[in-house]
Amino acid sequence: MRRVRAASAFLLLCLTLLTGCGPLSINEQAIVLAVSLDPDRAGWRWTFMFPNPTLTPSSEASIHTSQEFSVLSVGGATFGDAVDAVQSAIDRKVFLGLCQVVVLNPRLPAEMVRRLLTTLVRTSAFPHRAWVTFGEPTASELLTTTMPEEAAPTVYLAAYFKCRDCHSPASEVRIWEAWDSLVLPSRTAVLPLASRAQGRVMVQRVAWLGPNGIQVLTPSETQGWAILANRLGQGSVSVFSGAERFTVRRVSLHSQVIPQSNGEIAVNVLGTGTIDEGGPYTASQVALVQQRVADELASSCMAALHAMQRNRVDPLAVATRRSWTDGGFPAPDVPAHVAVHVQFRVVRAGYLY
Amino acid sequence: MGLLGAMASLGDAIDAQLANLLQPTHDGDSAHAHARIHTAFGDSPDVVRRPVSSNHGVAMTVYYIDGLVSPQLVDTAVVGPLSMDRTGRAIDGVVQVGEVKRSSRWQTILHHLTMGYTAVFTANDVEVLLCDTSKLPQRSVGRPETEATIVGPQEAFTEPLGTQMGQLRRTLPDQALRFSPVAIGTQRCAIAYLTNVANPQFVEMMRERLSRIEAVGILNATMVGSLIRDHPRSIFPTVRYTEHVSFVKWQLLQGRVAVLTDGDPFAIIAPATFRDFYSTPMDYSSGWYDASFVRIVRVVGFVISVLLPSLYIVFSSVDQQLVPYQLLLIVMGSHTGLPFSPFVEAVIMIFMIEVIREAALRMPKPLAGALGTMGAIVVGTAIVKSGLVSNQVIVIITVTALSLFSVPAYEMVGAVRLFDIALIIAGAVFGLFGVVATGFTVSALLLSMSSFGVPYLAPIVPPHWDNWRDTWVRLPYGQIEARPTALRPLNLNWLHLAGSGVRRPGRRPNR
Amino acid sequence: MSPEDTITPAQAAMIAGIGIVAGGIYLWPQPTIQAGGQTAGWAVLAAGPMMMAALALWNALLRPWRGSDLGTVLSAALGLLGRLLTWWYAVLLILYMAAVGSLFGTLSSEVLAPRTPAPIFIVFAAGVGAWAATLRLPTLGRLAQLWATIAGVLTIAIGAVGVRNLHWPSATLPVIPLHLAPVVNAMLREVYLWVPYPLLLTLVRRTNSPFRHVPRAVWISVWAQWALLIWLYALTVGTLGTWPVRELRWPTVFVYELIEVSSFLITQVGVLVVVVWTVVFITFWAANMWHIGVLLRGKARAADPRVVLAATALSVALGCVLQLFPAFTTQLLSADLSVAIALWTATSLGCLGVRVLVGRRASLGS
Repeated sequence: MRRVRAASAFLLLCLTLLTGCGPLSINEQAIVLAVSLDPDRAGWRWTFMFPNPTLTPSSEASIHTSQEFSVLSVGGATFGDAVDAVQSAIDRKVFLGLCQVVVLNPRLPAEMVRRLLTTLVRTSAFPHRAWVTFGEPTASELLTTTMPEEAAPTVYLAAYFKCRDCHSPASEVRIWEAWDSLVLPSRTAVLPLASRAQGRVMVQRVAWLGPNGIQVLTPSETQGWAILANRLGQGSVSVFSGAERFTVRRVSLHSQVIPQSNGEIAVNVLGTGTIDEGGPYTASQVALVQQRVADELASSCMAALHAMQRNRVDPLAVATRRSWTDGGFPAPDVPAHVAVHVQFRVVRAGYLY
Repeated sequence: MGLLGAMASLGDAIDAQLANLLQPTHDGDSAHAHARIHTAFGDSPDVVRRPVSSNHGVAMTVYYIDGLVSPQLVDTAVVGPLSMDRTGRAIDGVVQVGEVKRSSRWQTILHHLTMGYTAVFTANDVEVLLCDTSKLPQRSVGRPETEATIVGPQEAFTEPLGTQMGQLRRTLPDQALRFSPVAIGTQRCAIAYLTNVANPQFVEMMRERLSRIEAVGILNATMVGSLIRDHPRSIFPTVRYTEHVSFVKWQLLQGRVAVLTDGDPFAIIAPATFRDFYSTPMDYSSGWYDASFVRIVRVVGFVISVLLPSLYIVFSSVDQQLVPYQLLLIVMGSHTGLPFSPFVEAVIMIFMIEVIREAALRMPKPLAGALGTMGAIVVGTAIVKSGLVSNQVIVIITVTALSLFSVPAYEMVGAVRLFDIALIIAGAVFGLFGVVATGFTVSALLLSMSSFGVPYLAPIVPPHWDNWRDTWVRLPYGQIEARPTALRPLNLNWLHLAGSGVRRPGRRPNR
Repeated sequence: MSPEDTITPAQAAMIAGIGIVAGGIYLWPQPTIQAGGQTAGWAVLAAGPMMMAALALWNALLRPWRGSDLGTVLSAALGLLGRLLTWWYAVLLILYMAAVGSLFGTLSSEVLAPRTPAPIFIVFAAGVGAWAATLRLPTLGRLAQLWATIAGVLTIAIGAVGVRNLHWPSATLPVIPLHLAPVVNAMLREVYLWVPYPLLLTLVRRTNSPFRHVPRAVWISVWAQWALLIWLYALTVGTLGTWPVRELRWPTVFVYELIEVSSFLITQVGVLVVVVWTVVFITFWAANMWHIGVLLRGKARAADPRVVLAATALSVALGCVLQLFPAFTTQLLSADLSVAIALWTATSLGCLGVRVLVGRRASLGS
């Protein structure tokens, strides 16, 4: 009986202690699904995206696309200020724990982005698995773009990045991954750049966030980076052999970046692909296509490597890899000279094989 | 003087009566005997007294209780032979009943009268003849109502102890089967066990616990069970009740002990660990794959019934970040405009379901059907439209209620239900932390429990790996030849396949 | 000792497993990496053999004396000095429990329920743990058996899902050539993980296996704890690399938080592991409080509930204060307590060594 009394007293004590710090009901919370940051004349403009709180499976069909989500834009010097500003503007408690994506304007200062990523990683209430991307023309415009193929409450960009094997290049990155890359010796994070064009959201380029700022790559440089970083996925390459255009599909590449002792970087790329359409092709035609594809890939790689040299960044994490064996914290590795060797083989072409 | 004399003689008479009543044994005086029986039973009209005189002129008086005896048997086997006897033999040899006893102790005589015996008092004889003329009013052997099986034996126990023992003896015709009679006051019980299997400690412990009980009257087996079980205050049962004859047989073969109670068709089985409440007679009469699948379903049902409502409350109120955001947003959408939190909604729904269940149990069958329909309308539709609870809560609590009844042993259902409610409260107050901490506390309580010395969570914790073949699943019989080791049986194997155990179903014989 | 007071070697191993290494999940492997950088891998590899060597030495030196726990054996061997060493260790353990309790409270209030203050978690978990400490030893053994298995399997299995986050597998390999100074420094910073190791020395005296031998299960337990430490190190460093680990407050928890299974009811399964570790913490508290309860009671065999309650109250009070000073707590745990337990071990083994030598000389002389 004494034990029962003691246990009851203990439970009562805990219940008393917990009074007032209990959970908030689901309907007292404003769930943030996405956040964007743009530069503004007055400083920074933060946009928070919330779902329509009346959304149910039965009401989905009747809710207009423009009403599926609502956004709220506020100013604020830091993320904390912005959350406070949002909090004072709505009657619910801001809940960040389910944020899916953070969209950043590529015109932001690199230091601001770096600071934001660090803040988000250190905020335990913020999910570190959320996706992060640059967005243009502005981050907030991209945030509010909805696509017909996704119904609320799914966030389009989150669904886009989650489909890992669907896109080439596979440039998706999570907040913790971006932060991790910035803390490691290479100090360079690679973020996708999502753009809105003709009513669609496309992710065909990436941007490097390095010590010297944010550099947006061209599509060719992006392809080069994807090859070098083994992020090309299952892409396709189009080449011309004479007047004929060949599209090599299911391109699968494996690249190896080998830092040399003299500061050079040697890159070996091995790849395969198929030509599905047309044919039959002769062996010499196939050989020619192989050579053209190899040249094209090598040129992309060179473009990316030159961009690395030009911007003095290390997106291939060469310095980071070196640090695992050296034990020190080397400076970002920017190659003085680069050499790229590409071997490409068409494994199936038309009816020939 | 006359008055004083009358008072004195009255006093003597009272003294004589008292002296008679205080006598522990019969003194051979018929008048004293009558007074004593009258004192014991009062004016009860069912106590019948019939004077009988034999051909030899010996005066005898026969007493019995109408309703407990077979009148034909009394007439043809006791009164008839006694009055017609010309041989002058001892009357033990005259009466023609199965069992005849002699006793002069009043306690024994009165007790046997209440058991349907006929007492024959012979003038000037201190010993009374007790003839078993009992009539066993019994229903025919029926099917088990609470543990119905589709295949396999369908025999349920009936109320009389003798019949119960007979049923068991017929099902298990083994010399090793012993019935050890134990009387709890006037209640007759019997401990059933197999001498070559059951650990003698269990039998002794059972006998000792039963003999410790001193009760005026025992209502049923549940009462006996609650008086002999370990941890009587725990909500988790530590003895199992079953009316299934073949299931009791299987339990005895496994090394357990059963207690049969006169007047209650439910046998008490001990030791009973947590796992035992999740096995059914049908597990042993259906295919191994089917039994195994159903057992897994029961485990999942247990997990659902215990965790689903509390986790729903946790995920919708406290730790929202753990679930897919689409699901949470749909839950949020369903809650828009509703006045109560998920916790209050769950409490309302649990209360509704329990009320409907309780009402359906108490009502006559035709009305119970109507009540079920009414309940379905209230719970399924009206309660949502009225804005009291959301759709999700209805689904969650209904699935939980269904899972609860997947527990085969009814005595465990109540325990799981209370555990479930404790977790709901813990989840609403402390979130996932509360659910886990409460789960831990309950697990500690369960681990500290035992049933007749067997750890309550055996064979799961402490693990008896071999017995897992008949715990989570039920493997083919060839692979579960060992009895539960936690029961410490005298003989570990219940099955010996020909070929010194090498040949097992599905295995190639050694070459 | 009554037969029901004994436990199986497997139960002893499980209690030891949960009672020792469970305190490590909070900071591990940050202090070691901060001290050793890329050489920390060597220190991690040395952690297991270091513990096993210490255990073997203890086993050899304690062989001549009998007792139902470490305290009684030390008293039998060293008299008053033995009692002093027991008290010294008890104080260390209370400090250790306070530090780990404060980390648990802070972590829970950051990760599980941000609106709930840390002391609530400390009080609640320690209260349940203290209650469990007063249960019979076999019950504690079964409790450890159940939860160590569940937590261990979940930690490894869900961690295995997180293998796809391993971006830097080569970061887990220790750097060559080996530089001794940083490795020793890193090793010293991981000794705190083994502060409750004397629990093993008491538990082996409660098993139903032959008295003087450390059962094989207990050795396996030490191996398993070492393997778990290596696993957590590899998962954390392989996912983040060594530098980010230094920057984070709860590196291991951070890495588990990153694990998600998208097509499951609970997407953030990694957080589920953190929650399950709550139970591990309660069992950890129970095991160590049971040990204090046994050590400070003298010759009695069961843990004294009053001692358990007093030690819990002291540890909880200290823990509630320590959670206000996180940097100090980290320093106390990874540096001060590491040194203190190393010093206690060295002193105890030294005294026992001398005692054994003196005893042997005396027996030779006679």
